[in-house]
Amino acid sequence: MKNTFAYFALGLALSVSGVPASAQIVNAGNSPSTPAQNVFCEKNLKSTVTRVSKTVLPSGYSDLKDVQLNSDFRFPKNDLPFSQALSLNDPVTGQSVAVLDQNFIPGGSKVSSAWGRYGISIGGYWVYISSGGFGSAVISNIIPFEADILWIPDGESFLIIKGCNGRFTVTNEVAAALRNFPAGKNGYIRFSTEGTGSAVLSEIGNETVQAWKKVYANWAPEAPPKVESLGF
Amino acid sequence: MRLLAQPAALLAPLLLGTIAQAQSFRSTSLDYNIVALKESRSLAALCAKNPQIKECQFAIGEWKPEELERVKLEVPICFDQCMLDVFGFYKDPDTSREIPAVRTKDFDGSAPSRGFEAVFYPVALRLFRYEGCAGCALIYQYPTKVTAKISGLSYDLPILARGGYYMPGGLRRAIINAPTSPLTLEAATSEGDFTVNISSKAVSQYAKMLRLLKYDQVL
Repeated sequence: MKNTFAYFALGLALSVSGVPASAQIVNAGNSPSTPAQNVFCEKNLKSTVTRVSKTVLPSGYSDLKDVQLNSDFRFPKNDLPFSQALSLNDPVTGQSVAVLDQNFIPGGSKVSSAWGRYGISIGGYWVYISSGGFGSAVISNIIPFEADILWIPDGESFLIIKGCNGRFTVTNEVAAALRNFPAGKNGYIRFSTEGTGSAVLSEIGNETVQAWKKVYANWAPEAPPKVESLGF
Repeated sequence: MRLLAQPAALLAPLLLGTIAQAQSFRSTSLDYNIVALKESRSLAALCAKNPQIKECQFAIGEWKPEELERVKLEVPICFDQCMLDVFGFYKDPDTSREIPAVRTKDFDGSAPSRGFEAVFYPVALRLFRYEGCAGCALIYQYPTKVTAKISGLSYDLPILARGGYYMPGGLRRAIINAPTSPLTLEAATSEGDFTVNISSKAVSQYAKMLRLLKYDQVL
């Protein structure tokens, strides 16, 4: 159980800013994926290196808490607030803005999601109670899952987004759909998980829906001026 | 009536001249070019484009490389960051650019993981609140409004960027004139309002930076 939390806490950090949209790959023209001889693997002789520019946030997020993701896997404590837009600074992938959400049955199954500017991650665990009651101990099976297909309503249509390992890339179309969710109301998503065909319906709280308007606000990535440059 | 009108007619060009001078004085002050500063993205770029701005004319910056090198001989140069409460040029480890700054902190001794960090640049201030705990992520907060108070006067600091605030000419002048006076910053954040006390050593070091970089001649 603890490991599941730890995994997810780390996953949130990665997913929020770790999967920039293809438009973010600024240096793709200069340094495309480079096939290289992998001297370490006998069977996989070709490996690739992809250079991706770190993501940046424009001005306009001064009011958000700026979370420095400096707790590594040894500190899986995830004390970040849910349903609140946060600015995140990942030492590896750069700056992003995201909102964390959770939907659960107390003591039971849980769906955790991180809605980042550049990537979405959805995972959690299902709890199946196989026996118990009448004096015998309750035996619960906890099965972790990662979503691989996501359905998002968008006005009179809906978007089907394919991902893997619980991660989904945010395109302009996805961002617009999330941004335009009606404010003040709970939202719904549907997703299927790895290895199963069924699609689960999950509710998203109205505060998270509200936060999407900040996270997916319409802007093009442009680094704001540095304070030290403005001051000297 | 005609007698009264005549002196007024004589004075009019004089008055107009004074107004024009005042307007020109204003327009060449950096205080009146903050938007241009933001658009230029750096003071050095603004000075290259608009050298008649007083700060560009009198003060020393990257637009006066020889004089700047001379200033560097008088203070420490440190990689990444200099010691707290000391004026030094810190070397950006990535670009090797040498930037003059005074870095200081204000925190409660019983909870040093919570407090404010302030970095003074010649015409800007970087200010943020930090809060951490063992094993959890460090969280920064950027004030949405900052007011500086020194020698009984208050100065609102315009926001330049996230966590970046402009140091108005009046505040710079007050600090140069009273480098040992206590300086406080009233910072409003979404978590509440805070008073940040800037140590007298940091204030005097900032005044030293302004003097060495000839910002005292701008005023």
